[in-house]
Parts: sequence; C-alpha cells; structure tokens
Amino acid sequence: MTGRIRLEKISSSDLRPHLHSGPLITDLLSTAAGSVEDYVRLGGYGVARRIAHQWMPDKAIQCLDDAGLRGRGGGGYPTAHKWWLVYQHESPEKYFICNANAGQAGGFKERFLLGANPHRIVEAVISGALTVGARVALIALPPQLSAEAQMLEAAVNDGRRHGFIGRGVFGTTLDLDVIVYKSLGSYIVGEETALMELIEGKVGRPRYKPPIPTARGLFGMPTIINNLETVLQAHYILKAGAAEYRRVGTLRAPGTLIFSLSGHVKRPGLYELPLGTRLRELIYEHGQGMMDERPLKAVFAGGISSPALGPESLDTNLDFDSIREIESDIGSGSVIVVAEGTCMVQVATQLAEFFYYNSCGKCQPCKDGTQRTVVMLHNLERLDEKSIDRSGKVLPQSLRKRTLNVLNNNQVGGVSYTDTVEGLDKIRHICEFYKYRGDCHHSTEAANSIQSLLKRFKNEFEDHRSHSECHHEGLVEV
Amino acid sequence: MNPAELRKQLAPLVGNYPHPQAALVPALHLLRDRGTPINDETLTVIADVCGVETRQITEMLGHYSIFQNPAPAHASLCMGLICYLHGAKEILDQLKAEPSCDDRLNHVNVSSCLGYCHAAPVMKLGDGTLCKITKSN
Repeated sequence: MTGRIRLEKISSSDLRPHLHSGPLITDLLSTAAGSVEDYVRLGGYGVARRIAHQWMPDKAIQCLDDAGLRGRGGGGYPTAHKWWLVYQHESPEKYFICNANAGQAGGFKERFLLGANPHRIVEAVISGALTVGARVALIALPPQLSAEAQMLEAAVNDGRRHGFIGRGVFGTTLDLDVIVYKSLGSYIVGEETALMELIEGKVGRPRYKPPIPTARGLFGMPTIINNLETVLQAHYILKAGAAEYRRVGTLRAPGTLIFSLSGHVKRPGLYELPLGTRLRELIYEHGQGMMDERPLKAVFAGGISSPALGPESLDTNLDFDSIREIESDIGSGSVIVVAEGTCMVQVATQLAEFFYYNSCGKCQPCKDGTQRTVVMLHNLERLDEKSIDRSGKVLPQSLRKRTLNVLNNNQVGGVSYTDTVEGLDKIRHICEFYKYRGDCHHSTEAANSIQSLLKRFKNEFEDHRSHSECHHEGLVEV
Repeated sequence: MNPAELRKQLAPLVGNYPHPQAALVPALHLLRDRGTPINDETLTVIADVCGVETRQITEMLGHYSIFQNPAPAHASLCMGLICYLHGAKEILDQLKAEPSCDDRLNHVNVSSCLGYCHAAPVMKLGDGTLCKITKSN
C-alpha cells in the first residue's frame, strides 16, 4: 500500500550539532586521535602521568581550587572541595564516578563529548581517580549511547595494554581500574544517588541525603560523582593551569560552559562560551535569532527542570548566581527557546507528564502530586469541580493509582486537598504541597517548573479554562 | 541456554566489577542483547552469580521497560519537549492516520528524549536515525 508518508534520504551530517569551540572543545579536538599511541604523541596521558609521579594530590586539588571550578551538573558545587572531602578520607575503598547519563530533553552534549575524544575521557577519569585516591573509577552512560560506550571500552583496553590502567599504573605502586558502565536510559538514574543504587544492583531510586556521597556513597564508601563536563573541565585545568582557566568567565564563575541550545532558534547547537555570557548573545548572535523571526516567548535556561524565563530576562548573565537571582537555574546549560505562537498550556502539560512518568515512585507525594497535576492540566475547563485532581480520567487504566477514598476510579470522590481553593490556585497549591516532600530534587523541580509557567502565562491558562479550547496559534510547525 | 552455560558466561563479567552486585545491570543488558529469555532457572543463576536476591531482579525487570520489551521497536519517535515543540505530536497523529509505504512506520513507538535535540524532530528507525522530519517527508 502506498501512502503519503515516505522515507527520504537524509544526510548524516544533520546528526552532528553546530559547534562553537571554546578552550575545552578546542583542546579536546586538537588531541583527538584514532590510536592511543597517536594520543600519547599529541601529549595525551601527560596529566595523569604527572599526577601519578610528581604531584601530590593536594597540589592538584589546590589547582582546581585556584581555578574556582564549579560542578557543571546543575548544583554548581565547588569541585575542589568535593574532591578534597573524599581525598582526606582514610578509607581503603573509594570510588570515582563520571556521570554521563543525560535523559533530559535539551541536553545533547554528552554524545558529542564522548565521541569526540574517548582517550581524553579515559585520561580525565584516571586523573580524577588518582587525585582523590580511588582505586575504581566508573564511566556511567545510558544504553542510547552504546556506540560511544564501545569507543570508550576500546580506549580503556588500550590504556590497560599500555599500563595506564590496572596494577601499578604508570609504573607506580598505585592500582586503578576503569569500568565503562552501561546504565539504564531513565531520567532519574542521572541523579547521583539513584545511579549509585543502580550500580549496587537495586532499582535506581534516589537516596535521602545526608549522608552525602562524599561521606557514604557507592557501597557505603566515599565516592566522587561528577558530571562528564566537570571531569573534562577539571582535566583541562590540571593541564593548562588555573590562571589560564580564569582568563574567561566571571570572578565567581570562571571558565566556560558548553551550552546546548535548542528549540525555536535558527541555529541550534553546542556553544562553549564563557560563564557570564548574556542570554541574548547566546540566542541572537550565536543561535542567529528566532526561527521565522518570531518574538521570544519563554526560555528554559537550565533545561526543562528549570523555571521558565521571559523576554525581560534576555540581558541576564548566564552564570550560576545571576540565574539564581532571577529564580531560575542554569542546570547543565541546556537552553531551550520557545517562540511566540506556542501554546504554553500544551508545553506545561507535556512537562507535567514528563515529571510524572519520570518520578521513581519512592516518595508518594511526588508520584501522586505530579499525577494530580497532569490530571488537572488535562481538565482545565473542569477545574472548579470538586476533587477534580482525583478523577484520573485522562490516564490509561494501567497508570491509575488507587487512593484511599476512591472506590471506583472512574468517579470523582472523596475530599481533596485542593478543594480549599478555586481555579488555577488548585494546581499551584498541589505543586506547593509536593514541592519539598521528596528525597531528591525531582519534586521540587517539577513543582517549580509548573508554577513558573502558571505564573508567567496565567492569562493563557485562564483562556483554556473558560473557553475549553486553545486561543493561541498552537505549536509552531517547522 | 542451560544454567551451567549461563554461569560460565556471566562469571568473567562479574569478575570485572568491584562487587558482584554491580554486575547485575550489565548481566541483564547482556542477556537482553543475546535474546536469552529470563525464566525462573536463569533468574536463580543470575541471583547466585551477582550475589543478590531473586526478588531484587524481578523488581528491576518490572521497573524498567527496557527489560520488558526484548525486541526493540522498529521505529520510535522522540517525544521530548524539543521534538514536541517542532511538531512531533502532529507527525505521530499523521503516522497513525495514514498508512505508510514503509511498514516500519506503521508501528511507531513513542520514546523519551533521544538526545538529538539540535535536529528535532527525530525518529529512530532500525539502526539509523532520521532527523528534521516533517509531515511531508
């Protein structure tokens, strides 16, 4: 049968993102080599060798401290302090984990970084592990990146053959094993303690903190878990020096960050820019502006789990503190741009569904609250009905949750927490209810994200509520 | 595969990890890739080799959909926010409404973000990836 939809040949070059190189990417690409011999010829494994032979670990940590490196996974925690916390433990068993699990829409730098120079990734992990005194290092990545996992495994085997990994690395008495760990492609597994649970052979659900991983992490031992970009940035600092690193960026946020720019921009891609670059510059100069010259409607500066910003925030500097000042988060640098003409109620519903499906189910307020948010967003026109959040009508039968007062899932019943308020406040209140009632940040991020959209696009939500239909142009079609 | 063979296959894998429990997910990945069915017998062997309880493995298998569908879907359309913004939902509706000349497109699954946001909307088709797909192409 011949239908209208056919497959056409699409160039594989479309799969490569547009790249704007800064110091890190330039260094990464300039030392990329097919074989480990070529990599060593280009100066590879120099940093790891130096740490193993000459440097005392505290000197390496001091270098990171001088550089002022902050974690690129979202928290912005000082990396030097984290490494010092594990280094000063006199535990016989320590672990170093490089976390390359992404899973969040808008973050696509991991595929590029892992594929660009696998030997560099392995060297950076070895350098980190030797610095903190870990004897086992893991590079965790999702099954979607299986091609990159194979490249890394080949690089690890090369390193083992040359004596960079295994017993007596670099001719010293130090032992170090590096393992490429294929995790599971679930968003929540990217959370540090959830990943540790998974490695321990349990379902990947976040742990309550404290204890923090640097005190009791993998198998109860002190553990460093760093985002892939952080590990690479640390290696770059140890190679180029703190002063060179501080040449760009701001005083409190030195260096660069690789921004994954996507959404309604003309030129999405990976942009390595100094921290402190203005949001406007990223979108309108590097990203070449908005698609179809539409005005900007919203921007998620730190991926979908960060509260949405509006056009008035375009002159904000992209660094940890400036973004926090306007009540958002820089996350891992995934900037998602939304153009005028997009229905934000649909966007909010899509996000709410994402948060619900990705809630691990450990903390009931998170699982239940995110579900009720989805139900209410699907039933905006019936929002004033009593206990509407408990109707559960929009979800498939298999996904419905039994609740104490509901005997028949198809009927609204019982008393809901949301009955004390009316209108959009119902959604806002349920978000407030589950916001801080989880063992990890998932519930907080889910609630903040939905609340920010409700606040910013209140009129749009009210339109949906009163007219039962979208009065906006809908999603932009490309 | 008989239990002795399975044990022989898993033993070197477990040896690569600092604790046998850490080999559980890689072992499940291995069995999935090889299409080995997981029954009571294999479950006991995996639990024994990895030093975990069978209850832990059944919980893992039930929790992650990747282990529930051993045969990967022919086509999966990314429905992450970026692909959604670029019309993935409309493409899915059209694929459902109109049969395609390529049979693989008649059985499309929806997937979470595939990590090609710069080329949205994208679809995994067999071993390849189609990017910047539109309703017309």
